[in-house]
Amino acid sequence: MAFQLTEEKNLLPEHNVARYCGPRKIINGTVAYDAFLLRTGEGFLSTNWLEHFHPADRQFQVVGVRNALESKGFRVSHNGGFAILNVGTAVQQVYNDCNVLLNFRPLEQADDPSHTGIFGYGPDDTDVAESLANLVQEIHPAV
Amino acid sequence: MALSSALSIAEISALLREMGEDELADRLDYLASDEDLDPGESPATDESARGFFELFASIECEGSVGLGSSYEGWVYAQWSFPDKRDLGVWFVDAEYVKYTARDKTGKRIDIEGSARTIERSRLMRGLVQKELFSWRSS
Repeated sequence: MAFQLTEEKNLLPEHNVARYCGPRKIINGTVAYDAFLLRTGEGFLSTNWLEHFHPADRQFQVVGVRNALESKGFRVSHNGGFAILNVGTAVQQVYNDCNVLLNFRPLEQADDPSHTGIFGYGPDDTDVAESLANLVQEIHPAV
Repeated sequence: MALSSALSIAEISALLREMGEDELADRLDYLASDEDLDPGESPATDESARGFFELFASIECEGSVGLGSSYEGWVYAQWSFPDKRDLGVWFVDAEYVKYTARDKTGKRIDIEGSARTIERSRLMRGLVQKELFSWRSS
């Protein structure tokens, strides 16, 4: 692993995560705000920690995420994509924009150690979903 | 415009095509299908599509709209504007919506305080007041 976690085991500001977005969550080539809205009853937004796979090589990281999802039986779609978020930027900007303090935490799953969650908001926080979607700077093809 | 509560997505798509909105109709048909569904994800529901159409057929807008759908099967519409205005609406059912919106200055729009799930009719009136929409003239 390239980076160490904090004592609280949150990801560090320099870390990045990927959110898988199916084709229904991509509108005219951009990530829909819906891709970052929690489902009813969901406590966190599922993401994958990129630096778990490689310190910096984005292609290597994205392949790692795809393999991790597929090894759990999740089939990524041809027209889907991985939206990349920087942890520090997301925490700072969402706090400034929505007064909501997010944290990005590893979920420590044995079958997917890269699995992380964005905690701190809920299914009615549409403004947070919009803010996060607008912070996406890269979308990589899922397949 | 009040729609029959029995209208299906196929019938709503047909109405969109009559309005010359073939791209939206195609996308709605896709969202109502089983294609590309993730595990646990539902196709767009008729009720939610009726909510979208009732709004779309009632307003005019400088922005362009695109459609998606949520895991719950809610039709989701996102408008892009040539300025800082911004709008995303989830059609929870034929009557209620969730939304996020910004005005011309980029400031967040609150229609009913901080509540983000409200009646569709209230959202429409609020967005007309904030100049994201105008009422359709015919």
